[in-house]
Amino acid sequence: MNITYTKGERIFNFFNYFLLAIITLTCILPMIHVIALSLSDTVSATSNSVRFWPKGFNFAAYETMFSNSAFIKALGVSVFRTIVGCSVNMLVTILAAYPLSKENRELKGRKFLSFFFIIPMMVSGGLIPLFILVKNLHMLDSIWSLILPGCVPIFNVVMMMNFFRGINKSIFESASIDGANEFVILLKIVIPLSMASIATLSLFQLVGHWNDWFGATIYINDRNKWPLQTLLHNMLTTIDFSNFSAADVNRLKQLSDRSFRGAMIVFATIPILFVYPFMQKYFISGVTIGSVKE
Amino acid sequence: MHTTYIKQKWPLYAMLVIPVFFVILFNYVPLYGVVIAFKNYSPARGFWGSEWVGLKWFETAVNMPDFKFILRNTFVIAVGKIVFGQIFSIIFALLLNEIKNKVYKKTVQTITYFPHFLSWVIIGGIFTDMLLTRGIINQFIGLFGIKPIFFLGSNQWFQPTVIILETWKEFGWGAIIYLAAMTNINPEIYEAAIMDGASLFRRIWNVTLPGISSIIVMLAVLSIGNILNAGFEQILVLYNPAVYQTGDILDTFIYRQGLLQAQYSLSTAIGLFKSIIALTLTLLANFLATKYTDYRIF
Repeated sequence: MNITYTKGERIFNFFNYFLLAIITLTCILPMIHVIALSLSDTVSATSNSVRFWPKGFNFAAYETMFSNSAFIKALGVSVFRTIVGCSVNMLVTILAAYPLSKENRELKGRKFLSFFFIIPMMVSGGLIPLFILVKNLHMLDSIWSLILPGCVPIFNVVMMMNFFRGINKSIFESASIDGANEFVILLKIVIPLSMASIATLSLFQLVGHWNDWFGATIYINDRNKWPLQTLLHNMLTTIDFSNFSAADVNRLKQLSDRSFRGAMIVFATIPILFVYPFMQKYFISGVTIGSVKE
Repeated sequence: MHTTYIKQKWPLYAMLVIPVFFVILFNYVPLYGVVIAFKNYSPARGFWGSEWVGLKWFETAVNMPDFKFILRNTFVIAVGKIVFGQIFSIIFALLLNEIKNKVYKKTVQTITYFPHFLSWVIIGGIFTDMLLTRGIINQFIGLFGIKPIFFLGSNQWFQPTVIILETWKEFGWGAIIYLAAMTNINPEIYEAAIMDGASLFRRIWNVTLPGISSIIVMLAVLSIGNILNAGFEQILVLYNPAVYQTGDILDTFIYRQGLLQAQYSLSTAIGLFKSIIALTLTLLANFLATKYTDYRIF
């Protein structure tokens, strides 16, 4: 199609490219700033002179980080809860989504079961009853408190169910005529056909577990068992703004570990950066399925 | 007939055992646990041993001097985020839709979606530093002669700052759904509009915008369910005692009362108060969305 642009439209197009470039820059510059900070020496970092390029380039912050035992422990916890947590999530998601993907006549009580799963999406008992429950189950200070309480991601169950429904029914029919039971059908047919969807949801779960910091702040007192993001949160909140302007000495002490904090922020972002391209392939379908269904 | 049904279908029920068990344990048991909002709960006497006190904790909450502030903050921050965020996402989607260069468009999308996937700890970590009075953002606005602003430490600036930060984090992600809706607009309508001599602006105004209006209305209606969700994790990362007056929201108040002060019953009561309002609003939003837009829950 041939479109001839008027002068006004050409000006608009130019400004549009320019404006979007600025918007995009605002999304990336904070990240570049923190990378620059993490690679700068303490004096430059403390004197607020680092912008988007490191000053006094060095890897000291990263060296300190990797020799810090709290960091290493937290990294171990994060990796463990991410892998195990994601596996448990996916197992439970598939186990719930497959039966629910059946028609009402194929699974008696399906309607009741759907309500059973939808209700918790609408209402929850809130923070305290769940905390008391986890405490009574003697799960405080255990890594399972970060994995089990949220182990049924109901929203993902709904998405998975919709993916399963998209599979051609005739495949199931020929399998059940051959005498295969539902376990076999799930394992041998449905799961292999849904690997793309399973991979997508897994990536979202991985990111969710890696990013979660709040769970451990309430369930885990022992800082040796904190995941990385909780440790990072703890480091950030040690800046007390209320007596900030008064106590300069205090401020200098806190700011001197700016590079170190920057290094941790950069490090905590890397895994997400790594899985991001794989997730991006599925964004649009995923978001659309989750929100609008015809 | 019945036995063959069981013979064929028992694996489906067997599969459901584990998920159903965990949903009962971690979703339904806590739902029942809200009864402590009506009791004088103490861990020593336990769930059953604590005596009933009726609506005492609700009265206590409503009569707390801070409660009005907290309710107001929650509402203002949540509504600010909804309105500001949606408008910005729509404008961004409209602008991006006019970009014809595929590589440029893809690059902009890739970068602007990314902050959505970062936790508030990471974003908070980046921005608490940048927003300091001598931080990079104040250095920048200083170029225009503006005096340093204590963004996260002053009651005047805290609310706008959290609303803008939330918008910054989510606008790209929020635009996806509008962009998807735009790709569904029939290209023939654009061609017809061009034939009729409609300018670019008229095409945006009279074709693109009406094309996504049903999605806009749907998301606006659904957001009613969120007007008490001011963003717990964000506030918890960014706030500090100096800005409790404008920054404290229901969720953070529940967290401090419940877990830091061990006021289990009081904070459960406030949580229940919030849940009931939120549930009513969500049901209302779903009802309106199903009735007036194309939205279907299941």
